Amino acid sequence: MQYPLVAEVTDLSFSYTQKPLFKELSFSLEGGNIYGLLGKNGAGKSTLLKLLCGQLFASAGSLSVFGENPRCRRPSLLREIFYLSEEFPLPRMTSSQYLSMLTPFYERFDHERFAHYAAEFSLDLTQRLSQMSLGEKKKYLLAFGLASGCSLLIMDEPTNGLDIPSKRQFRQIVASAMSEERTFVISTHQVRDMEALIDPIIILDQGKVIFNERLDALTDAYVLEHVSTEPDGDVLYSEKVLGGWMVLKKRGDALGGQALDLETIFNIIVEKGGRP
Amino acid sequence: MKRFIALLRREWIVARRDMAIYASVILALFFGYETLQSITTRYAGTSFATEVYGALFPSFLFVGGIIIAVDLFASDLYKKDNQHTFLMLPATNGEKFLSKSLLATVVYPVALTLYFVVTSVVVELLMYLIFSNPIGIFNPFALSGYWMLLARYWSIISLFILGATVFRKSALVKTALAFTIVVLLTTAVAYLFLRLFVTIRMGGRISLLEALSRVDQRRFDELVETIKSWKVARDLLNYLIIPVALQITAYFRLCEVEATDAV
Repeated sequence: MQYPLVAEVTDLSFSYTQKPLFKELSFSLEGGNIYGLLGKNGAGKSTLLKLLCGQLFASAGSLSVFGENPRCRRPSLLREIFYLSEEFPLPRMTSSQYLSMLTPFYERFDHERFAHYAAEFSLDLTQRLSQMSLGEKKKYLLAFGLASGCSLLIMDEPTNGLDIPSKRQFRQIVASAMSEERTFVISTHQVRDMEALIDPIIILDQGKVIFNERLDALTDAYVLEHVSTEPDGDVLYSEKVLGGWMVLKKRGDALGGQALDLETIFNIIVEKGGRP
Repeated sequence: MKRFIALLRREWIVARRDMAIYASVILALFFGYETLQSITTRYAGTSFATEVYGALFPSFLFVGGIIIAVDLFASDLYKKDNQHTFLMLPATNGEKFLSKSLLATVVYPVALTLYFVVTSVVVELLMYLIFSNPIGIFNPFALSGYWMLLARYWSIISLFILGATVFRKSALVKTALAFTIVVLLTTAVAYLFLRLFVTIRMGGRISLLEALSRVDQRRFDELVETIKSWKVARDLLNYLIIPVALQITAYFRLCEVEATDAV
């Protein structure tokens, strides 16, 4: 099913220095998905998220989110975007103060839902926000973002700093908060934390989107097979593992094999510079 | 309008604790001062001094107003704790600027005036009950030059609002220094101009003081009267054109900061 376009990026260029970070970057985001944004360190994941929510401005090309240019930062667009950045100091105030300060800006904010998410995350709402741990702050903002009614939730490394039960809670809550009107873009290095959650995947490498597809397109077509002898040079992809090699094979050619995991998919795509 | 009210409400939530402390300090100060004055009057037999409220109002207006205005802008534009939230607030830059400017330039002086009136009523009643002092409630309209004070406040606060948007750190001190430098430079230029004028008109051998002493007193008085008659133009410049220009520049600076520093 095709959902309306949430964001469309066409020939976008951006640079912090003389060397361009993105050059003629193009991709689109469709509504009702939880996009995983992957890339090596310095690939520009956080920069791309900031461009999407209007914190940075492209030097060339076009970028539209819900049909608007995010650089204009119109209130109509800002109230549809919730951006959870990797670093986010919270003010020295209580939760109730924070809510009464910000919720009037989000017309669809649901206080009951916020209380529900906060309870799910076992947050102590009587505590001052600045006294919360990093993980608690993250969970607090996550609960706020999910209850805000924003249509586009952009998260930069949301599971960093979360303990193991919280990571599971995070996945469950995001999955339960998902709807056709809502889109998540989650940038992460913790692919194992997110494997069951994110799909489609966008992979950034050397200033370009080298992959923007659903995972099943790959997992249906390929499997990994464990072999004890070193594969010859014409295999699609191989990786040295304990007791042999894992070799990527087309599903029909393999004798059994195991399903592709997200980490391997990422490695294959980055090594190949695109789909195998 | 709804967003604008939400912005004002936000500022109030952020500042209300500090405002409560500020209000308590004013109350404690008046109460302490009036008590001491009453004791001194009763036991030392000195005459009862004039009420303190009118004397302290300008100081609280300017010092408090400047600190509040600078903090209002600097905390959201340059403090890491607030920058991100302020940047992503679903409101236009114009609304963000106007809400802060309105609070600093209009709401604060009005609130301070009202607070002084209320505080004076409370303190004076207490003093009356305890010491049977005569009641002298603060009446802003009886204060000489109250409206002129507010006009000056609007001018000065506009300058500090611009300073708070321009300087990333220590905006208060830097604005005061920058203003001093501008005044000194203007004075130096005016002096240079006068010196050149005297040299051209009277020759290079005569000093400026000597040249001024040779000015015909009648003509000098006429000149002073002429300058005095420019009062409307001067007031327009000081209390309308310059402050508005400062506020507009501060607004553009806020837009610039939102597009650069805040990220």
